[in-house]
Amino acid sequence: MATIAQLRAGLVDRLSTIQGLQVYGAEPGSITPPAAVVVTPSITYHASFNSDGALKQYSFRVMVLVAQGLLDEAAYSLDEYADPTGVLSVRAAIEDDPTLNGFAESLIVTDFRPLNAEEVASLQYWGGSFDVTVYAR
Amino acid sequence: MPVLKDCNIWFGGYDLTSVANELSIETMYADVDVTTFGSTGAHTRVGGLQDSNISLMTFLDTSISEPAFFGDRGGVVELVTAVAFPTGGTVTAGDRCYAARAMLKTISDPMKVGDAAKINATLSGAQAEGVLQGMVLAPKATISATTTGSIVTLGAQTAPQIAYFGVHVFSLTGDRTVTLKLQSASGLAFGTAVDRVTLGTISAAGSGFGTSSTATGHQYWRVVATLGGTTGSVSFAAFASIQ
Repeated sequence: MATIAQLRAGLVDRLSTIQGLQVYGAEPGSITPPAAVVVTPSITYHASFNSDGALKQYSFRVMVLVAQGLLDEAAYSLDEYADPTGVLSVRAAIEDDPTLNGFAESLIVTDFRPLNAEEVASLQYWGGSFDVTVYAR
Repeated sequence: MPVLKDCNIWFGGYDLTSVANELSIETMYADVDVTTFGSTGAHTRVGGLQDSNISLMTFLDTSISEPAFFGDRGGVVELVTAVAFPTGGTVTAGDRCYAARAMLKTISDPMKVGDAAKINATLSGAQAEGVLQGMVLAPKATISATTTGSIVTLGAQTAPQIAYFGVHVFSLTGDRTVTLKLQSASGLAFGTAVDRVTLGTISAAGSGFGTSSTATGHQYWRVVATLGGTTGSVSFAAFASIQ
């Protein structure tokens, strides 16, 4: 049975394949951009019968923070992380191993959205958020 | 009101528990209109034939749910057993169960981008007993020697009731075969065991089913699994029902 730590580590491994991206396995006190942060997931425990061995649905959020404040370069840089394919594509990097080192049954990167103004003000960084749904037992 | 978390579902030689997330067992009776001119302005009805439907919703698993359903195309009648509320989350001898011998009616593969792949099936009750309510005699377990199961207080079988005995054999390894037998006795000590149903020897994963119409006051029931062959093991589960 997979633990959150194993799935989180799997996502960190996938994100670490993106050259130049600083990857944080949990919410850090401070970051060095460009950075990706794997946020603690929300979990649906009973996706199937069989409590302990039940299929679970983990909804991870991966934040990618590219620069302090909103700059033109930051927006263009974020485009490359948000692209569905390419060497900086977060979606492509994560979906390249849907088992997350063998601990997941499947996963999908469903959505990307840029951070809104309030979030940028709060985090002090421009960036975006990826939703990753992971199925594991 | 218990919350459903651990419903165990056995379908022929497959354990669908870990891939299923929804099960519906529906029993209905035809209403037969027997209204006459003398019915004084209101319909009069009597109960007609019983019918049953079973719906199974599972995640697509190419080693469990897919072969389970696709292997039963073409009118195969298969034994389906559900243990809705296993004791403490683990099926235990004496747990209540529902079972039916049913025929596959539809298979559906809902496919939507981004969703977890699923495969669902609906079945229609296909034998005279309809949906059975019974008790687990042997929870799913793997044995490598002849085994006598726990004693379950299933109760007496009063005429014209029938004792039903169903088994699921999930796997056999090595050269093993298994012969499963339903026994009853008047006392907990099971001093004089009476064989009630003996199924034919099973040598491949699947299910077995048998009945006894001989009434008895025996309260206590158990299963005996006699292994054939010399190496390997057998994984199976069994239930009985009197109705």
